[in-house]
Amino acid sequence: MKNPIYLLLVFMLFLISCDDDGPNILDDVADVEIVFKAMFGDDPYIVNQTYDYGDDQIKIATFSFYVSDIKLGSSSNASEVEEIDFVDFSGVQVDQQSAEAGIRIVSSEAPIGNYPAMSIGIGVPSDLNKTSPDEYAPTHVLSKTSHYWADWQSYIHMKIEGTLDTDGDGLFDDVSFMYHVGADETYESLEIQTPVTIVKDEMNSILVEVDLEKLFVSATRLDIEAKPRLHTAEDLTVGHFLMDNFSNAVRLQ
Amino acid sequence: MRFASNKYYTYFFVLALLISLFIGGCGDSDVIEDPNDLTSIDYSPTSYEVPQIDGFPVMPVAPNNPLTVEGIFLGRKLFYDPILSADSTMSCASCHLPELSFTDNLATSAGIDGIFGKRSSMSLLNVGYYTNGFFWDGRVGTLEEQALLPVEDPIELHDRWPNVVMKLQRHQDYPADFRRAFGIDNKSQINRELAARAIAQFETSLISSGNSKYDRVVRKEEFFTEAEENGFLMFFDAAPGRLPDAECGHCHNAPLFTTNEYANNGLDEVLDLNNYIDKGRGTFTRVLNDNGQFRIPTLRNISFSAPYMHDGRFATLEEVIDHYISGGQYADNRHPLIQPLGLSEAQKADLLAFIRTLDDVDALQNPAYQNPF
Repeated sequence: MKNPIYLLLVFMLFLISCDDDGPNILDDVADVEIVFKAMFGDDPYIVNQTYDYGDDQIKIATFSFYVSDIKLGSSSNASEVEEIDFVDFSGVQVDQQSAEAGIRIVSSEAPIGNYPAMSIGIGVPSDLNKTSPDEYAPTHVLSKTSHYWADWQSYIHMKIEGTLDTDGDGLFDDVSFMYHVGADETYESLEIQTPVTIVKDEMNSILVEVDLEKLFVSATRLDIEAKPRLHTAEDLTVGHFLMDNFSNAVRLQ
Repeated sequence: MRFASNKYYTYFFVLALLISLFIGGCGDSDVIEDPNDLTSIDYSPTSYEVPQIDGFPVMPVAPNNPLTVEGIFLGRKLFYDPILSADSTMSCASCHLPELSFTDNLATSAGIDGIFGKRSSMSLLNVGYYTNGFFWDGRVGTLEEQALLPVEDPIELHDRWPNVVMKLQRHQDYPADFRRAFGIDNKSQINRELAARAIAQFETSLISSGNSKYDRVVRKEEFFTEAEENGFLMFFDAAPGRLPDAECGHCHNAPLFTTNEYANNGLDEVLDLNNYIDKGRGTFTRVLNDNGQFRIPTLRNISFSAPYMHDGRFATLEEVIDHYISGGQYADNRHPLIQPLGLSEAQKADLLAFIRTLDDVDALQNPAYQNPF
C-alpha cells in the first residue's frame, strides 16, 4: 500500500528537478506589453531634434523597423509573444514627454515565470519576406508599401533618414541621408541575455530601448557624408554595419 | 308577450347594429397609415463585394458600415445631389468631378458663398484603401467622419445637418432609399450618420479599373515604350548606376502610388516651423514637426487632377517634376529625400511618360461612378 505513494513522490521530485534545468515557466498566463523607446545616447530620441554626431550635428527624421519572432526564453525553449510588428518612432517620439513614453507595440499574453533571456528579430524573417504588401489587408503591418521595395522583392527591415549640418551654420542642408535596409541577409536576430519575469495578475511591461547613436557608432563611426545612401539590395555593407550594431544598441530595462 | 318579445328583439337588433357601426367607425380611424412609416417597403439589402484588382490589397470595410448595393446607390445619389447644400446649388460632386479623377481643376475650390478655401480638392479614387486619415491634414480617421464635414463647412456646402436631414425626410424618394439601404422603419430615423455612411459606401466603391497601361504591363499584357521604361526605372530606382533615382517611389509606391503618409516636400522656405501659412498636418496634431506636412496623394490618374499640391500652385506635371528636381525649399522638417535629383530634360520627359501610364480612363468613365440624375 505504501509503495505506490513513494513511487509518486519520487516521480514528482523527478519532474521538479527537470523543471530546474530550463526556464521556470508555469502554465498560467499573464498580460505582457512591450514598449520600444528610441534613445540617442543617454537622451530619449526626439524626431528632428539636433544631436551631436562627431564634429557635425545630426537630425533624424525617420527611424522605423519591423520586429519579429519576439520570444521569452532562450532560443531552445522559448514562448513566442509576437510574430511580427512594426515600430515607427517618426510620428510618435515628437517631444520630450512622448519620447519618454516610447511606443507600446505588443500587447499579448505569456506564461508566467522567470525567463533567462528574450529574443527579438529586427526585420521581416525570410518566410514572411517572400510575401508582399498586396497580400495583406491594409490594416496589417506587412501591408505597408512604404516599407516594401518591389525591385528587391523584399520588405525594408529598417529605415533611417535624416540630415546633417556639417558647416555649423545651423541649417541642416548639407547632407541628406537615407538608409533603407532590406534583403534576407540583413535580417538581424538578437538574443538579449537579460532576465525577464512574468508575474500573474499584472500587466508585465517590458521596456526595450534602442540607442540610435550605437547603430551609427561601434568600433568606428559611420561616415554619413561619405556614404549617405543605402537603397540597394546589392551592396549591403552599410546595411550590415547598421543591422549588426543592433546587438549593442538594444537593451532591456 | 309575443309582441313584447318581438319589440325587445327589434330593440336588441337595432342596438347591436349601432354598436357594430360604431366599432366599425372606430376601426376605420385605426387604419389611417402613418405617413412616416416605411415598413411596407422591402428591406433586403444585397451585399456588395469590391472587385479585387490584380496587385491591389484587399479592401478594408468598416465593420459598422458593410457595403451594400442599396447603400452605394443611396450614397451615389447623395454625392451628386445639391440637396446637401444650404441653397441647393452644390453637391460633393461640384468639387469632385469623375472626369477629373474626382477633383475640380481648380487650385482651391469655392463653396456656395463664393469663398475659396485654402486647399485643393483631393482625388477620391481608391480612398477606400486609405488607412491613415483623410483630408490633406489627415484630421479624420474614417470616410464616414470625412463625409460629415463638408456639409457644415462655411466655405463648402454651408448648411446645417438638422436642416439637411429635414430635407431628406421630406423628400419623395430618399426615405425609401434609406429604408432599402439601412432598414429604418420610419422617416424620422434618417439622420446625418446614415447619410454619411451611404456617401462613404459610394466613395469606397470608387476604385481603379486595373486597366491602366501600368497595370497591363505589370500583368505582362503589354510593354512600356523605351521612354516609359526609363521613367519606370528612375521612379522605382530599379537601375541604380545606370539611371538616377528620381526618389518618387518612396512616397508614391505601387500599387496605390501613395504610401498614405504625410510629408513636407519642400514647397516653401521656412526657417521657423511656426511660420507656415498653412500648417497642414500640424494644424491637427499640434506637433511642431508636423507643420508644413501634407498627405501624400496618389499618382494614379494624376494627369487628370491638375493643378497640383495642396494649394494647387503647380499647373502642370512638368512644374511638379521641376520642383522635385530642384530639391525644393529649405525647412527644418523638409523630408530628407527631397534633394536635388540631377535629372536631364530627357530623363524628365521619360519620368513623365511613365507617370502617364497610370492614366486610367476606364475608371473615370465607369458608369457606376457617374451622376445618376
